[in-house]
Amino acid sequence: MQNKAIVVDHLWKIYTGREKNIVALRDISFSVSKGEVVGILGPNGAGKTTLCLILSGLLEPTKGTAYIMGEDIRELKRKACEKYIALYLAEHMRLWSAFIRLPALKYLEAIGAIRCIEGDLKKKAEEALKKVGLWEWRNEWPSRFSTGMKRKLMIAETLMYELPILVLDEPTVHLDPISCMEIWNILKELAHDGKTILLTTQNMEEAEYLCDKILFLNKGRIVASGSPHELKELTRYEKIAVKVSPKSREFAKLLEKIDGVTEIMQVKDVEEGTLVVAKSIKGCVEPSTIVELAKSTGLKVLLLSYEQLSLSDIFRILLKGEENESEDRA
Amino acid sequence: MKVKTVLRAIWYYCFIGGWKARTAYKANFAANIASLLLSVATYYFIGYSIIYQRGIVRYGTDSPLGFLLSGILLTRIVNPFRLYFPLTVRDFYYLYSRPVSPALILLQEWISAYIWFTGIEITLYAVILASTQNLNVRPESLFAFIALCILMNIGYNLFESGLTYITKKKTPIFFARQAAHLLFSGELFPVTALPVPLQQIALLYPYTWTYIAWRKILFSAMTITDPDFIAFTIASLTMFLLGLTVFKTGYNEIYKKGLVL
Repeated sequence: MQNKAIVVDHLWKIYTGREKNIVALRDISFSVSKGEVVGILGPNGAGKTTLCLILSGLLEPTKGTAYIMGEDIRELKRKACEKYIALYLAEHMRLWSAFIRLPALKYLEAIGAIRCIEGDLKKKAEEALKKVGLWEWRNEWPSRFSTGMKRKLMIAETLMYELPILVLDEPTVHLDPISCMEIWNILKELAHDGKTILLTTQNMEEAEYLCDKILFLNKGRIVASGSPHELKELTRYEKIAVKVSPKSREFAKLLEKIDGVTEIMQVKDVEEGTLVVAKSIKGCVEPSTIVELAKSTGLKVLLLSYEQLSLSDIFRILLKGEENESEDRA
Repeated sequence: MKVKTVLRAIWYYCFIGGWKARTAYKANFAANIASLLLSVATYYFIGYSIIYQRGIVRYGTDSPLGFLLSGILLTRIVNPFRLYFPLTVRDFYYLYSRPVSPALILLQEWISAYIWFTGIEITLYAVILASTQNLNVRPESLFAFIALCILMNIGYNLFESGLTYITKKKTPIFFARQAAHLLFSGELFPVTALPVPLQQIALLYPYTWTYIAWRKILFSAMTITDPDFIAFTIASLTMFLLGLTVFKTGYNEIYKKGLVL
């Protein structure tokens, strides 16, 4: 427990409403070591924000508990945000309107002052701005910043508190790919500096790029967890990409009939022919089988590759599995 | 753009949209009706009390102008506490997740409101009041009043915000507060101008005692042992404790249930 920053122990959260109750988290358990980056992946309504709020002491767990730096969150409550956790909720964050017409550096100094941050505010603001890559814009007004830059400035505000754990709820939601990549690099740098980071996201690429460990959350349950590599190994499927010439969409139907092929994931006409991507059970489909199938229908194989499934594919498979399981139960 | 298209836009925005906005929730609809009735009642009682000088003496003055100016001045003085509350439901998670005491955030907001919004008004009304009326003030009563008044206003603010946390309905609570204040406080007309049953309700409203004490301190050198001052003291302490309790209950409500449902 000593080297653990966060320990979540059989955590439940049930929202009680007038008409119905919603189970947001079901018996969640996991831990985050100090200096580790852990990603919570899940679709909308999976319980990601609820988890962030509970870990920050702003929402009471219904059952179970969590320990932040060894202290029980049910006793810590809001003090978790004062002692350990810098919470960044993308949907709830906003720039402090009174100061948005100050240069960015002065803006951060002012925020630091009203939030009673101790020490040399100018130095801290400078460091925070450098960390988030806004140093060049230190003399510009935040009111003129793009959405991505505003997000970075809000992350800089979060960094000013100098707390050991960063809990980020969808930090890159609604951002363009370049801004996303910039924020990922900032987070990577922070992790390198020893910050413990727990982030929630719907972006598989983000999780794969940043996280040491990923938890797939769906309908309040952890459906899989592990390092990105472990998760990829977890599945017994692989992806086969075949490009045939001339163009033939019929080939996809034939391919689906081969033993071991479980799903046609994509069929696309490209310049030289048709590209078919299929999901198959690992090691079940020999390349020669595919080449012969193409030959027998008068097609030529231009490309044939076997790939590991991406995290995104795995997530879809897991969600599908969950849905089937629910249907079976029903 | 065609005239017909513009007219249709205005019709949808102003009439259909306006009607929907005012009637979509029962509480909002009721608040709108109440505010209409309230404004009629307020102007009626102001006129009634001024024309017949009814009940003003109860407040230690026989000058309708002094009565009105002192009422408006006190309202301006307490407004920052009653109107400016930054710990809103909308910003709940943002503000409470900052490692700073919420009490400090409140204090910052109130002082800022005094400096930028009500400071000039307060000075203006105070100068007019002092130059047009014969004020007769005991300093110790005034200082005790200010301290207790701050306590009551903090309590009132916390009470209203706690109710908003519990019900998640800001607008109806805002209207209810406005209605209670205008009708029962004695800010613009003496409560003795009200029909007797309403006067009795007014005695339960803490600000009624605030306005009585305030005017008697300004105009008739009320001491802190005066029964009206003691009633004001009890009202202040009760309001503060009630506000604190309701606010804590409201915070715990959101802590337990969240803002999802």
